[in-house]
Amino acid sequence: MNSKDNTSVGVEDRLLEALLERLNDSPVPEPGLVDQQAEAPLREYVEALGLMPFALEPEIPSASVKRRIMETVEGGRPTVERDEEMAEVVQMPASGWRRRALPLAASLALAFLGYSGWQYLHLEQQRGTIERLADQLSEANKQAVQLVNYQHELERAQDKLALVASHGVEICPLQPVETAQSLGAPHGTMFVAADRQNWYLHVDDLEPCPQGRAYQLWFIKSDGSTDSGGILEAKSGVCLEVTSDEMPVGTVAILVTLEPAGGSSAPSGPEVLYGDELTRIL
Amino acid sequence: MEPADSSRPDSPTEVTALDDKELIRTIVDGQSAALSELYDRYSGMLMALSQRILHDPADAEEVLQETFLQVWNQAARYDSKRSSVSTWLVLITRSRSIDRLRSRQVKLRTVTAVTRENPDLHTSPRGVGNVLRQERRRRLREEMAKLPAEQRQVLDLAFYGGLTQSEIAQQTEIPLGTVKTRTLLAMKKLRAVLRDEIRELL
Repeated sequence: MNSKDNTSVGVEDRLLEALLERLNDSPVPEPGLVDQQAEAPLREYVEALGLMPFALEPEIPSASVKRRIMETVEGGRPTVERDEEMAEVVQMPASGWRRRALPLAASLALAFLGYSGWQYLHLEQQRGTIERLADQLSEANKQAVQLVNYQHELERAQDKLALVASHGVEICPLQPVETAQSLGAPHGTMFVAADRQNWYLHVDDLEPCPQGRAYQLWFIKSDGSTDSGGILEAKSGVCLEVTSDEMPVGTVAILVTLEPAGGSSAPSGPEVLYGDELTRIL
Repeated sequence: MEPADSSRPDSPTEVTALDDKELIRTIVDGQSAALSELYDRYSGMLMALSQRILHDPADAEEVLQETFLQVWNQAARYDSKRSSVSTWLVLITRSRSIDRLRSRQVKLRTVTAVTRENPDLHTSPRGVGNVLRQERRRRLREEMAKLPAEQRQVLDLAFYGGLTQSEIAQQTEIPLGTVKTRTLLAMKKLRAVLRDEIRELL
């Protein structure tokens, strides 16, 4: 890279730093404020920021939001119309006030007499309504918690799907090792993202771990050393799924072994699953 | 703002054929159908953005309403030389959401993360536009997922959390210089991998 390139990169970095510093104020500079040559990359950075929310799952607002916006912009003011109707209602008795004074007084007296009884009944109804609403609220809260759990499950599934379908993903089939035939015939697949950091492991038919033992995942590196990938918890009849964003640099093979409960610092027990063929599929 | 075109569409059917910039010009002319169309195109994404920042659907809806009323009132201020329409909308929504976040100390509600409806069934009646948006979303998710976790973290805190670089350093207990480097790297990677999408917008 020549000195001119170095200079332009330096300017670009400073502009980008300034853009990030001003992110909460006015990230887009007025035209002409920055050097013309720097405007294009700066504009591209702004557009990159503007694209970020497109990665989010869209959330649909209530229909009332659009209705309120459109009522405002179209000058439709239904509340005013209602006010006008009310004004007409209020004006009617005012025009014939004297003629209707006696019947009105009688009505008011009757209304006053019935008021106490009505008030009592009304309070009773309100109490019942409050109790019913409290029950409904309690039920709704339970459902909300359940929905949040579903949402988390969905997000986890989406993350897995994103990894599995991502560009440059590699798969590594894991086959049962003969020395561990008593542990059934488990088989699995590890999906490794192009960044070689994020991975997703799926294992079927892995028998629940014998008492006092634990399945442990290992990354075998090109120099023959091993790094632990953690303890795997297998449950009967349920496939085992693990995701992580940490994979040791230089991993060339995946191994699952049966270790003492709590795990070991290096593979010491029977080998259960092994795979060393990373294949790029997308 | 470019001068207004004299042949403006005046029916909702016609505005669906307009691109974003033409919609803004039509809004400047006072055609509410254009605002309605712009809302249909971007309300789902902007609502998600605001909700991501505020963690409160009711507040996010208020921000959305304010955003589109601002667009209606200030469409003439839109400058296509400074940003695309979608980025303009994103920056307005983000700015309003962060203002609200800071002023109200929004309380997290239990139902925040609940997705209420299947968005794809409602975002837009037009198939092609919807498919393009889905494709853009898929690609952006992929590219964001490819960013190293530590770079994605600082970018998220800056963009969705509204934190300054110093605040990020304080919150994550990472040196300020490291935060700045990570954010710069993340932005550079994003710009590089999204080059095609950015060119479409420019």
